[in-house]
This record gives sequence, structure tokens and C-alpha cells, in this order.
Amino acid sequence: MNKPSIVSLQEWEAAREQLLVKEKALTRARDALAAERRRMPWMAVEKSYVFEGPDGRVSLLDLFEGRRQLIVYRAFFEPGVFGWPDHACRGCSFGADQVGHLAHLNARDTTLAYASRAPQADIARLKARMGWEMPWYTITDSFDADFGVDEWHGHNAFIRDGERLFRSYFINNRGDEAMGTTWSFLDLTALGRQETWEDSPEGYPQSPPYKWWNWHDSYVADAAPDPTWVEVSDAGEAAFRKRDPEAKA
Amino acid sequence: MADDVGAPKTVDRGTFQAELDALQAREKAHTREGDAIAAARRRLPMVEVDAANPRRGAGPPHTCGRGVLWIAPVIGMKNTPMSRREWIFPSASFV
Repeated sequence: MNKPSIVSLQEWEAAREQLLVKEKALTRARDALAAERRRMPWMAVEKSYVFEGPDGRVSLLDLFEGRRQLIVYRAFFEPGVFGWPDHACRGCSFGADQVGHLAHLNARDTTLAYASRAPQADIARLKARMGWEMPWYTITDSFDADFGVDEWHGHNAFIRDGERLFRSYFINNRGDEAMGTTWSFLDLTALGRQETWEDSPEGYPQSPPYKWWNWHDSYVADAAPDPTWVEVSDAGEAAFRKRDPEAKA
Repeated sequence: MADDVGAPKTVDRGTFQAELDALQAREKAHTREGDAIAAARRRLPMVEVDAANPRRGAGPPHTCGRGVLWIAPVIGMKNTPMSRREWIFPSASFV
């Protein structure tokens, strides 16, 4: 291996600072893309879709679990896929392993679900074996073909207005590899992270960053932020800004 | 809902796909830019550190036997004794 040059800490800091300019620009560009996604038109979902879940037949609306937004990842787990019946596709399994705790996503009124063509008994066995806890449904109809995931994996984002359902975005290929963090999922959605610093259309739900965070076992629906945590996070943010005036939320 | 999110513009499948294709082209460019930055990161110079440098605290072992070690200071631990503020993670995090 050709190692790069070994330099003093000062020289290394200078080189890192230089690259950091590009990294920050990339982060801002990512924010701008997410803002564009929030301005995408929505596609009405005209057909009724039926899935099998652990408790029987459910509709696409049921997959929202009462929340406003839904992300469906099409995972390949069915006869004919490499690894069947012991495992799901390696890439999809890799992705499932990097999904964060869903309590944080759920606290932003958003549900993540996986969907495959394998029967529920096999899905239950796979989830137990691999330690995966996301809701995982069986596709029974043309859902996969209608949403571009019959031959390749992908994440579809949906939003609902009452019982009217809309597709708001879709990513696949290398877009999928970045998915897993709460932020990656929220950035994909029509409403975004729902934080005050975001460039979103008028009237979109937003609350200050940091304040809505909670431990994954402590979220309470619609609760006001814990005042002590607000104080602690304000102090932390102020200290950080003092140290790095360029820092943005 | 307390807020005011109407459907911004509801379109048919063909129009949606055209809008999606346009934005995805920009997303792909962003992915390539991320790849280019990662490539530049691999070419950054390095600083030699003393392998025997003792770390404070009684955390996990100091080396993990892997080729790359990431160290992330834990934020928001104002009331935590200094001896417990430095953690060494066995896998990647932010530095």
C-alpha cells in the first residue's frame, strides 16, 4: 500500500480544513436536495393494495400504522433469491442491519415498513434469526411492479391526507445504500425532518432541532419537550456556536 | 392536523416520473461528489501517533486489532467526570 505522506499535526489540520470546506458544501447540497424533495408533486395512489401481515390481510393505509408518512423498502426475500430460505438477499440484509431504532422516526409521524414476497411464516423466522424488528409485510399483488421494485430494491415514500394516499418520492440503487439513519429516512419524506431550520413550503409542521429528541424508550406522543432537556440542549448548542461560529444546525 | 399541508400538486404517474428523473439526476451528481470527497480523504496526509499513548478512563481496550480505529468524544456530558468522557468505539463514528 502506498501510504500518503506523514506530516505534523499542524499540516494535517490544514489539509483537513481544506477538505472540510468541500464536506460542508456537500452537506448543504444534501439539505438542498431534501428541500427539493419536499417540493415534489405527489402522485395519487389510485389502486387498493393488499399485504399479508402477522395478523392477516392489511391495506397500504394500514401500513402507515396511523402515522402520516410511510416509507416502504422492498426487500428481496422469496424463492429464487440467493440465500432463500435461510436468508434474505445479502444487500437487503446489509441494509436491514443498518436501520436505526425506529422510535425516533415514529416520533416524526413516520413509519418504516419492509415488504417482500415471502410468506409471513418465513418473514417471522427471518426476523427472529437476524434480530430485525421493523414491520415486514408480504406483497400479494402488483404493488412491487407499480412502484418500481419488482426487479430491484428501492424505498418508496408515501404521505396521506386522511385516507387519501400519495407517493411522494422514490430512491433506489446507490440511494438505498445511504439509508438507515433516522435523518436519511426523514430526508426522503415529503415533510423532511420537520425542524425549524429547514427550507420547507409554508405551513409544514416544524419544531426546533434537538428539543424533540428523546431516549428511544421514553417518547410520549404529542408531549411538550422536557424543559430540563431544552435547557441542557440550549446550553450545549450555545457552547458549540461559541467554539465554532460557522456551525449551523 | 394542526398544520397546513395540502397536496402541493397532485400529478399523474408520467409527470411524477419525469419530475423524479430530473431530481434523481441531481442526486446522482451528489453521490459522485461524495465519492470524490471520500477519494480525497484517502489521500489526506497522516499524523503519526504514539501507539503506547495511554488513554484516560477505564473504557474498552485501546486497540481493536483492526486497521482503522475511530475515536468519538461523547458530547453533552457536562456532568460526567472527565475520566468517563473519552470513549473508544470499535467501529466508525464521527470525529
